Amino acid sequence: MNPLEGELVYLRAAEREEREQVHGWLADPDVIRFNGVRYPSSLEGLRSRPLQAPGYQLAHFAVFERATGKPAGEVSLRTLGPENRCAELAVLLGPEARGRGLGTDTVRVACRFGFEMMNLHRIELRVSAANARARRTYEKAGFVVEGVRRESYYYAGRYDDEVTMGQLREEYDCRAQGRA
Amino acid sequence: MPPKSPLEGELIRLRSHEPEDEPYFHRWIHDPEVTEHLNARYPYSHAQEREFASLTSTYQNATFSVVTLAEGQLIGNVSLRNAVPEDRSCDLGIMIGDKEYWGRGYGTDTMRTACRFGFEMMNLHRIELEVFAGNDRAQHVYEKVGFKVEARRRQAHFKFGRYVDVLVMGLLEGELR
Repeated sequence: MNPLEGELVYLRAAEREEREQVHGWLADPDVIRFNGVRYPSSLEGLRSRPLQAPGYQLAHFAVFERATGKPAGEVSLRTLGPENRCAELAVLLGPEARGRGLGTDTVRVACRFGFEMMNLHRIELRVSAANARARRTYEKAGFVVEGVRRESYYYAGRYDDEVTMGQLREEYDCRAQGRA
Repeated sequence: MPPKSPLEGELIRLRSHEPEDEPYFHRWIHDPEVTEHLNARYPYSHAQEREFASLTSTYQNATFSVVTLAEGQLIGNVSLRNAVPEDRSCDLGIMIGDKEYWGRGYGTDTMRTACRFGFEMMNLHRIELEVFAGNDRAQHVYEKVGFKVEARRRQAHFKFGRYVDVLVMGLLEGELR
């Protein structure tokens, strides 16, 4: 099993050359809305920010489409303290990568990495209540709705709810066994 | 009865190092009967011991001073070091520097309390340690709390003009007695 490879995407450590692509994505209206991009970022700022190699505290990956080798997005697992073995999942998908199953595969590969390589006990995430497509993707990948952070995200003049979702190691193991 | 603090055993409790511990650490590390069984080779300066005494615990280095419950006497130190979160494994080092407290169950209680902390508070899966072959008293203490000899590193340590074998011992989650 190649822990970085899915059916449609593969994961790599981020390289400086990809920053331009990321800068482009950060200008996409859906990314701005749902990935919490509030202030515009400068390309120079992105380029000069030090690149962190993926590690336990922040396992950050660039996502590429297997069929074309083109960058599709980014995904990260951020842990807060090793004792809880819990990481927050964050996904950024470029607009061209949407609606083709790449997002679902990215989430699956990231969760497999988190559970099987990082030995996590739990993965959690927050998603805007208005982002129906993402919520379906996460549900397909085994996440369970745990709660709603009411009116927790202010955007374009209104407060949106955020849905909190989580997946436990036993649940992942069950699903993995079922698929095997 | 209130639940026991995660740092408390039957005879001892674990606490953070304090600056006033330094003279004890310095005295013990210069006692050949104490250091005979330790990895330490070179004498530590007061400055080094002061630095050690100023360490606060983190996941990477959970380090404690060992104090008797009855008299509040500082008798040693114990650390859980180099924890790797993916492996949930760490190394344990222990020194009971006060020889008055050898052979009376204080070492065993310290080991038990420190290992319990590692499993129940740090969420570790495995604790390992090294002991010199021939240090039967220590090996017996470790086996009493559940450690198993896993490997013998032949002639891995040199001291007093000769090589000694080093035993690697391990304890898994659920095996602590």
